[in-house]
Amino acid sequence: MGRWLARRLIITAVTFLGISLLVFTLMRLTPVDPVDLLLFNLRQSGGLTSEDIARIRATYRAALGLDQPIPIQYLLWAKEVVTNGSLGFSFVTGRPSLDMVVERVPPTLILMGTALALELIVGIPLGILAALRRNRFTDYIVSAFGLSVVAVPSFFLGLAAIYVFSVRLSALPAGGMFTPTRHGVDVVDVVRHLLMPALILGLAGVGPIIRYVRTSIIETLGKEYLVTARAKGLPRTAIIVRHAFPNALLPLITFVGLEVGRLMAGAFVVEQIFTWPGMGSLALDAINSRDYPVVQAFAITVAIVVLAGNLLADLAYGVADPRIRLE
Amino acid sequence: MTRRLRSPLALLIVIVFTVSACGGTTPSPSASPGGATAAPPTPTGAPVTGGTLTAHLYQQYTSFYPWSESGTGGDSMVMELQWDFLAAYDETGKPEMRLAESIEASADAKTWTVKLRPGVTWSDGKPFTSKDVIFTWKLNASPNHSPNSGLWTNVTGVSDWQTAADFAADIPGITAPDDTTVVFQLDEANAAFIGTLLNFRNYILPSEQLLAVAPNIHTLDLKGVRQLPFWQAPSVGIGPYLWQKTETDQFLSFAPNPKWRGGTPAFSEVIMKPIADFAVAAAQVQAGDLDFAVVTLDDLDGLAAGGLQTATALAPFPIQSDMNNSPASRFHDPLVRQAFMYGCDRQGFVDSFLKGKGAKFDTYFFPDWVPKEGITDYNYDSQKAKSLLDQAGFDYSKPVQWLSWNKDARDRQSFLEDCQSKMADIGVTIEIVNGLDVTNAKTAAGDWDLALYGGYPIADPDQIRQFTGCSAIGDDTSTSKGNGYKWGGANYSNYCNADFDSLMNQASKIADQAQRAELYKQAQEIWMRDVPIMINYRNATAYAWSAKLQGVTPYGDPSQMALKITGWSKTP
Repeated sequence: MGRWLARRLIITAVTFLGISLLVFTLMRLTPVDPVDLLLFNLRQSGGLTSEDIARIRATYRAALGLDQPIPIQYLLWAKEVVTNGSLGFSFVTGRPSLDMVVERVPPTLILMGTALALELIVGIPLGILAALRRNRFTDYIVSAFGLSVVAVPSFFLGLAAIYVFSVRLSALPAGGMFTPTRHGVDVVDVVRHLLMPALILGLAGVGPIIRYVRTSIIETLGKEYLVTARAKGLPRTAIIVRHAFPNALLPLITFVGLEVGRLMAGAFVVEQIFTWPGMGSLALDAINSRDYPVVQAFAITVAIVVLAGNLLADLAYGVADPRIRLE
Repeated sequence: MTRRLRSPLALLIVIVFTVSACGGTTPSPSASPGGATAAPPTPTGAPVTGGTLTAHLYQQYTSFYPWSESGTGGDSMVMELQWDFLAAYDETGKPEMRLAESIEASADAKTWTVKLRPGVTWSDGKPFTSKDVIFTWKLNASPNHSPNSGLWTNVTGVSDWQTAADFAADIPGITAPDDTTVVFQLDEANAAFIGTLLNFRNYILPSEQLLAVAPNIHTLDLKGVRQLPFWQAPSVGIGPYLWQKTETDQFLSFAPNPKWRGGTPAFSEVIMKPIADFAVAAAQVQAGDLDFAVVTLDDLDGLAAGGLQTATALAPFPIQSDMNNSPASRFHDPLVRQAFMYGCDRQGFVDSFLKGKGAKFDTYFFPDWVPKEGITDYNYDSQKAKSLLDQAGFDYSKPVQWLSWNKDARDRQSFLEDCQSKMADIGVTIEIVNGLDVTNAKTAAGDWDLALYGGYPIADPDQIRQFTGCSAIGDDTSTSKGNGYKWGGANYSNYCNADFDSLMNQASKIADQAQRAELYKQAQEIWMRDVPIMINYRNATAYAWSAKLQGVTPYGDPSQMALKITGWSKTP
């Protein structure tokens, strides 16, 4: 276990380095850099001569460190990371980019965590139900539900939910993480704000979970040891809960590990609709404004979350199935 | 300044709110036609002081630094609460004094005297004086700190000051004879200098307080200045409201400034919520989470039907298409340019896509005081367009390249597609080229026929000189691969007409408006013949606000909406 973990951590560190190098280089290879964007905006203010443009370009490129070759820029950036633990300063706000990303991690984790919990709470029982009622009316209804929540785009569901629950029923706030006029931490208020975005984000994952669980349970139920269990007169609930479900869990763990990445991508849209202050909206703004340090900090943070998700999934295999040894 | 006025979700929200409108029973306040401000319904109850105003920041806020690289509308709105201008354009485009009591030009238009309003203090009680103005302009004119530094090179001594790069030194042409007077001395007469003084980034900053946190602020490099924590959490202000806190990506909250020059502002708290998507903002104002929002024209009727007050205002800047006037271009011939003015149905686009709220303009001489009688009306006439193209010997076999960097701006793309279809009827093939990287490269190379982008908010006709004057054509031909296009100046269309130039230059040196108007009338006639730039249309900005809110003054530029926030009030 120890050796396995050490090996995984080394692989993770190398992956990490690769991601940082890739993102750093790719962002800087995009045709329009932040100074081009600035000059384009300034052009619309009028009155700039070629000398003005040349001077502004030189000043800003030097200030942002873009006047150096890309390998030198990367080394300077890496030096800052190692010596000061800094991922650079935002070109747009002047703030440390890591601070900007880190302060958005908790809202994103709250949203993703709640959405994942909802997925599992709704998806697993429905998947089991569909498997037990295979090819019957209940199975069709559950499968149709699973397909429809996947097929309807999140932005449509989100706006429809705002219309119903906020505009018509005034039951839930339309956006944000908490009510601006409330002072101090109010858990109930946060939960009310969280409900709709988490539900919309989670619903998109319910369909696949239903399918995974249903298929896995059906497959497991046909195994000889379960036929034996039934023949021995074990109660149906015990067969499902103690024997079928734990054995059907392995593909689900794989799915949940991968689901972290999907939730992160889905959060981009949901955060936008519900003005949830997560990493998605920050990343979109940073990419649009070519705010390299923020994009870099974002990519690294996402990499940590996704790699950690996969690491946890691997550890969970060992717990769910003792035959799998982490060596 | 970047502006995002359209949303891919707009269509969806229209569907949602149309359903709402069909089922609603609330009486509908109507928006007035023609892009003018609508008369809001009279709310019940008298306006009171106190209460919280929750308003929409239509673009992301980045900082309280006036010369940030992005210069977003969100920044402008929050800075209008915290800082103030010497003067600013009002909602009708006329200069309105704010921290200045008056701004006057000498008879030769070379000396501009700004008299400051007496008795104004910063929120910490320290007096606002000419020192603050001088201090601010040292940052404003410094190429190390401000992308607007190029605007001040006509001020005496600025060019040398910029070259010497000692930005703590005084600028010879900007002086303060006393605590309430600032004088700008120009090298050459400029009757429209007030337009430069009223630039949207010219907020006045607190000298004493900033020097206390950064004594060497003028000698710091850009990075050093931008990273001062003051720009994220200003401890002092001069506007009606003062920054209290920022909840990242959630809101900024402001408290009333008890020292504000106009007395105590109405609201006990102002919350500014950044919401990038206008459809989402529309949903939030409908749900009551926002009191005021910038919305899309598509959402307007549904929101009005839902009981909200709505209005539109004409954008101060047009969406325009430069036509490539360089000698080797097909568009060097004025007949071709005129043909395109006739061949695109600009009024039809305004009536349909912009729901009649925008406007078609043929002239760039927007101010009312320039006579408009007798100017050519380029109404849609495809046969006339065809005839002009034939007369010019236009080569129909070669597609016309029309650049438009922002494909996501739905109005722009729809206009182009509409024009593409109309011109196809008379045998002209238009190829639309999108993407900032591609269009930038093609523009610099002169490899284009028309280029569409958001144009200039012309408050004074003299500003037109900046992008049409012969001297504003760049001198860089290295990018153009021998086609003669000149890159580098502010005159991207490469238009040059000596007579037009002469009239515009004469008008710039005269202070008397009536005399200037006569010269601009003649210049405008040349413009209408030459049409170096096609004004595609002027958009309309749409707003919706709670029935409880009163006194909202819609500006064409949403970034200016907080300028008159002190006139707003809310019934409980």
